[in-house]
Amino acid sequence: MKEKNIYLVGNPNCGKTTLFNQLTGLTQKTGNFSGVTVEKKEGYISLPNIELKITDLPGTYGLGGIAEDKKIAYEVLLKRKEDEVVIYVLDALNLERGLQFLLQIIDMGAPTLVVLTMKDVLEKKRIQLDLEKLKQSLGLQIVLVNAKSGEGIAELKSLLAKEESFQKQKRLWKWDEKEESYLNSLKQKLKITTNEAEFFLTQSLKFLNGDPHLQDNRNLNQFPIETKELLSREIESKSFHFGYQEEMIHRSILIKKIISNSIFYPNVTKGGWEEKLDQIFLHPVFGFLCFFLLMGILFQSLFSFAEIPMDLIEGGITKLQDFTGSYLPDGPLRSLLVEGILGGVGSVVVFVPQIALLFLFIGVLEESGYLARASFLMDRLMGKFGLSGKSFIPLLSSAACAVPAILGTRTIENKSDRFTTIMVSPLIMCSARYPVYILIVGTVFSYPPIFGIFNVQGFVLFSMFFLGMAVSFTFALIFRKTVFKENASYFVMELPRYNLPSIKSLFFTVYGKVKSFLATAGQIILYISILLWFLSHFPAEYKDEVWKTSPIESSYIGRVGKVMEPAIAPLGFDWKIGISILTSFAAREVMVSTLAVLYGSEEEGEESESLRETLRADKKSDGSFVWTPLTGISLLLFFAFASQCMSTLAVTKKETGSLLWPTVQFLYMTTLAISTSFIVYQLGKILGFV
Amino acid sequence: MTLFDLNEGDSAEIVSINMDKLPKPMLTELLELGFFPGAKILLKTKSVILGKLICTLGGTTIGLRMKDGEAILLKTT
Repeated sequence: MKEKNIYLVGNPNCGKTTLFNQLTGLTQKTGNFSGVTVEKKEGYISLPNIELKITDLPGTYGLGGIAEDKKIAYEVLLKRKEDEVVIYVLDALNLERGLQFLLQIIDMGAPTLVVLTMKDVLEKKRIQLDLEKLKQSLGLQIVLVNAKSGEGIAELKSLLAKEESFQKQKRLWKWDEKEESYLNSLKQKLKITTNEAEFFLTQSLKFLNGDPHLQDNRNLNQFPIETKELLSREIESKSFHFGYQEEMIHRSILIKKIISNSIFYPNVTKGGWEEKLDQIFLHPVFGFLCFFLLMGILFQSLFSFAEIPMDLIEGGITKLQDFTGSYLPDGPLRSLLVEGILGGVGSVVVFVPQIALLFLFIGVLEESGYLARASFLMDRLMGKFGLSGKSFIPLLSSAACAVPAILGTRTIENKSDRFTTIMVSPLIMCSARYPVYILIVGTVFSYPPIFGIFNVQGFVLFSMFFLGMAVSFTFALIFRKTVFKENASYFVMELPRYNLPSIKSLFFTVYGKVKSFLATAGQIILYISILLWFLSHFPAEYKDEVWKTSPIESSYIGRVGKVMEPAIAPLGFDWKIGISILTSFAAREVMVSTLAVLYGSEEEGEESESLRETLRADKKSDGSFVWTPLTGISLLLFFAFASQCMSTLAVTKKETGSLLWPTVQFLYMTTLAISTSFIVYQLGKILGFV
Repeated sequence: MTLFDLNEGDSAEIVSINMDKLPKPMLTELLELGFFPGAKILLKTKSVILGKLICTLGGTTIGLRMKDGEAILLKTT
């Protein structure tokens, strides 16, 4: 069967991802563009006689951007193979800006099919669109769809199968007379006939003309030396105006003409509900109140709603352990499977409901258009710490996981801003810290709900979240004032229309994120669980047809713990806590399963009452309790700041392209964690707390 | 007159952008968002507390810092 590559291109917030989800459904795959870590989303559509591979390119406003993800769209389109085509997603309510980019795609010579989205909004706003006239003006095939409901998708799919649906078009706009006639004479002289070659020629002319937006000469280098010299001489001697700005002005003249012929707006009355919402969300006082309220609801709901599915999963895992255990004879294999693998991996699977909820919440905020408003609101505050509002979205998504958040910094054009954001993102409380916090808080602060509804754990999580935010902002300022001093940050951002999020789109987003969480975190935990099981059960001996494993104190890991105990005692930790810190350096969640193994608890998991009770009852050699509120606080602070995540360090290395920054990240976070725990514990002891 | 000087609710036409007052990447971004000479711009909100301007142009709502608004030169229509 034939396979065809299609690139999905368009502005940000034009409905591109919703369309991608509609077209490809569960056939999606994520990876990286070759050589860089910019996320690549691909999906497949099987049609009679043809298999279509659709690549969703990062949304961009044009080919002049310098942010990593925007550069990718330009690079991919520039290196496009002859038979690869483009679906251009055009937002019907933002025709002017969308057409600017579309005309750039046409200039590149890519065979294009246009998908016009927001059919529903057009109808609702009673905007009349003459589709035939728009088709004529652009000379391209156009399909009108409602990406959310799926209306028009069947027609689009039938068009995708046909070669002739994707049309090449000549450049539709013209330069000023002087430039245009010079370009034409050059084309004749150099025998340039195709759009692609003309595109390289104009890019070269823009470069020679000193266009500030185009500073690379690779287009010019494609021409022979004589041509390069000829072009340089001519551009120097005559004063031409070949530039991105001029190009945009000329395109915009054409766009205004196209729009006035094909779209008719009714007399719109100003001050609709969207403006009213903006008056609240962007208000200097109410805006912040709304933001804090939304965050409060998020952390409370993570506990209230996630508890039932978490209990169910935990019950399921226990049943699976019992079932597996009952079919295997007593011995190392049974112990490895039941306690090591099922216990270890199960302790991660249990967090899926919370993680799904967190991603769902962030997805709703993003798709509804609120997240852009939150960064607008936060810009001034972020500015005080040397960052721009654009760093806010990655920092907020660090609340789910620092890995996608660090990847998300690619939208930040300013390098110093971007690197600072990468360095401080792991300080924000991420989902891997929840199980640890829940276990610690549940053990040392066991209080009933306030007024019967407000969960104490929810409050602690909420304050730990703000502690993480505050510390990461402080370190952002330190980095900005010391290492990343260059480049003043700036902020300009589109405030997208408010949108009801598409359930289908949210489903695919949450599904994809949970899948990758399980694949990456789950794998690490599986290996560590097996290793931990071995280290905590061995040395063992086979005597009288029975395996005798070591008690935890004399196992390999127990010996390590005893050796390190004097070093961590000033932080309030004993050898068991020390081991759990050691194992959780690869991934924080491992701490819970480690403690469960070490304390020999029957049940694993942070909700396990027996584990909490065992911890509460544990005593030091001098008879005092190990798990006191002071130790709890010291441990909470250690986990809030320590760099215990291999994946984050790996992604920092990839994104910064150097081993230096993950090393700095690891060192400063670990130093911060140890010193904070030490100071708080010692100060607490002096003040008479236990 | 600059975008910073425009009153809330008033519209004007962009004459030019003062390149020296802005970082280079921001200039490209402004152009792609529709801030080029000849474009009509409406100032919706001027928030001194947030240090922000909210304006609409070409059907899009855009937020930017007040001091950057000083680099966008306008003429009233």
